[in-house]
Amino acid sequence: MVNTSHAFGVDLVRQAQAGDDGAFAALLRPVVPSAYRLAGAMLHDPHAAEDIVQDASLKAWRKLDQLKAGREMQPWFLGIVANECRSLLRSRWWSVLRLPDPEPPERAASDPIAASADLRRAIRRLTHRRRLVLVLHWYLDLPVAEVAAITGSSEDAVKSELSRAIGQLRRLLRVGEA
Amino acid sequence: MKTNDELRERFVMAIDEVLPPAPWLETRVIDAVRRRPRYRPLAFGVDALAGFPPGLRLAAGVVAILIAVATVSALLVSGRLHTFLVPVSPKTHLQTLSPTPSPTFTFTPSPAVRAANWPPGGQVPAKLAGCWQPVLLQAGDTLCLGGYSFNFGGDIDGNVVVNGSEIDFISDICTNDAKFGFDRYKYTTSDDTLVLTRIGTLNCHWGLQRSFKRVAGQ
Repeated sequence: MVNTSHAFGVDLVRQAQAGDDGAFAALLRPVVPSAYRLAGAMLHDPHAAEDIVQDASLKAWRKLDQLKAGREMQPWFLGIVANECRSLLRSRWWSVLRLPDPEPPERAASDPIAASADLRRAIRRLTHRRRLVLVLHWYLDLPVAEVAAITGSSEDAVKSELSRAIGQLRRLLRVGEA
Repeated sequence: MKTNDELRERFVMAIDEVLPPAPWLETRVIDAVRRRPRYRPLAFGVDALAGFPPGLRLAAGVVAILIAVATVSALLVSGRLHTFLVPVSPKTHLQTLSPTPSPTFTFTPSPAVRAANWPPGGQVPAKLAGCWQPVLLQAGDTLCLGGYSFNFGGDIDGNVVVNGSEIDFISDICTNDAKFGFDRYKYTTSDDTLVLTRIGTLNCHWGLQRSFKRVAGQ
C-alpha cells in the first residue's frame, strides 16, 4: 500500500525546493505552532519566540535544499529553531548584563505562582541541551525517537540526557526550597 | 514533589504561564516567507570561474595558493612562538582526574529505610560504600554509594539495593507506566577499582556501565 500522505509530503518538498512558495507554506504551516512552543519554552519570552520562528522560517526557506527526500519537515525545522535559540542565548552574554537571580521574596510554600517562577528559574539553569530534550519530550510531548532526530543524537543518548535533566531540575528545586 | 508526572505537569504549567497563544504567527511567518524570493546558492569552486578569461582564472589560482601558503606559515609560526613562550611540563598526562568530587557536593546517604516495592537486596556493603570516579569519560560524574542511597554526577539521586554480585539503581525518575524503575548491574571490585556491567534492559540510561576508581579518602 502506498503511503499517500508521505508521498504528498515528498511532492511538496520537491515543489518547494523548486521555488514554489505555496508548497513551502503548506509544509511550514503545520509546524509553526510547535516551533513557537519550542522557542517560547527555551527562551521564556514570547516576543523573542515569535522572532525566532520567523527567522528560522526564512532560514529554512533558503536552506530547503538541505531537507533530504523522505525526511520529515517537523524534526528538520525544529532542529533549526533549536539552533536559533542556542545562538540567541549565546549572543546575549555580551548584550545583557548578567546579574544573579534576585533573592526570592518570603512567601508561602504553597504559592503556585511563586512555585512556577522557581521552576522557570531552575529550567533556565539547565544547559541548553538538557533544557532542549526536556522541552521537546515534556512540553511538546514528542517521543524519544523524534527528540533524537531533532537533536541529531541516538535514542539512548536522549534518554540519558533526560534522566540527567530531570535529576538536575529536582536538585535545583530542592536547593531552592531548602 | 513526589513523582515525575507531577513535576512534568508543573513544568508544562510554568511555561504556559509565560507563553500566550499566538494564532496570528502562522500567517505572519508565511507572509514573510512569500515576500522573500527563494535563495539560490552561489556557485563556488572551479565552476564559478568558468565564465572568466583564462588569464584571470590563472591569477585567481595563484592568489588562492599564496593565501593558503600564508595561512599555513602563520599557523606554523604561531605554534613555534607558543612553544617558545609557554614552557611545557616535562611530563604531560592525557587525562587528569580530579581527586575529589565537586567541592559544592557532599553525599549523605538517606536513612536506612527500605521500600516494599524495591527489588530484593540489602544495603551497600562496606567494600562498595563511598565515592567512585570514572576512569574514563567525564571526571565529574562521580558515583557515591552508601546505605540504600546513591548519587551520580551530583544531579542524579536515588536508592540502591545490593543482592549478591548484583546492584540495582532505583529511581522514580525512570519509572515507566507506574512500574518502579531501576537499572540492574553486575559489579566486581578489585583493590580500588569498581566495574559495573549492565544486566538486562535499562530504564534509566544513566550510563553507569564503566570502570570507577575509589576517590581517595572516601
